[in-house]
Amino acid sequence: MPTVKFVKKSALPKAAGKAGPPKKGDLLVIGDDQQATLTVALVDAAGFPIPNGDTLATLSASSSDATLLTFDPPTGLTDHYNGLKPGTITATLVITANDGSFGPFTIEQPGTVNVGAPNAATVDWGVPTIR
Amino acid sequence: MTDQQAAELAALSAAVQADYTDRQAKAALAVQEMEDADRAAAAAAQAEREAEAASLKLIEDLKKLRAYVEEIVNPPAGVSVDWGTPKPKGK
Repeated sequence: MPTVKFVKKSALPKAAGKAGPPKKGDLLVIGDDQQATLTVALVDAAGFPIPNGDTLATLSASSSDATLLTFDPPTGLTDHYNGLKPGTITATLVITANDGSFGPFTIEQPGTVNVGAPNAATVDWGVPTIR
Repeated sequence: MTDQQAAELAALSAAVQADYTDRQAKAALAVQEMEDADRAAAAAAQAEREAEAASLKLIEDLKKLRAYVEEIVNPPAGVSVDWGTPKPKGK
């Protein structure tokens, strides 16, 4: 006998919205003394996440300037990145299907590496001159 | 020994021999039945192991089929990225 299961709308999986990176506008922002971990999710045409994305695709990540921002080798669809020096960069993510059946998807994310919070002080005492 | 005694002895000997042969046959049959039972039990255990392995393989195949169907029905059309929250290095 067929059965019907009622599920509350709030219990349904949510469409993948814009995930919450530390952005200023659309800019990726990180300090030169900071690190973060990004996670990529595959989504269908309706924006819903596809389960087991790690088994379907491979991630590669790169920075336009490796002296400002670097990426560690990815683990599945997760990657760790590090701010190194203040400046403007573009982070590029490429997600490639393991069997070539979709994509590849390329994301080019502009961003800035900011000066970190004060951690110490340096003093320039100037050059003495005759009064 | 008289002829009658000899005949009785021969008859007795034949009866003993027949009884021995009968017991030997029954013993052999019993051993055969035990061996058959052992073989049947081993075959049943082997069949059970094979059935269990087949069930596990079927479950794995169904999982693969489900993933494949989900991918076909719902192919990835894009990605979303969570860039994470920056934290001080080493924390």
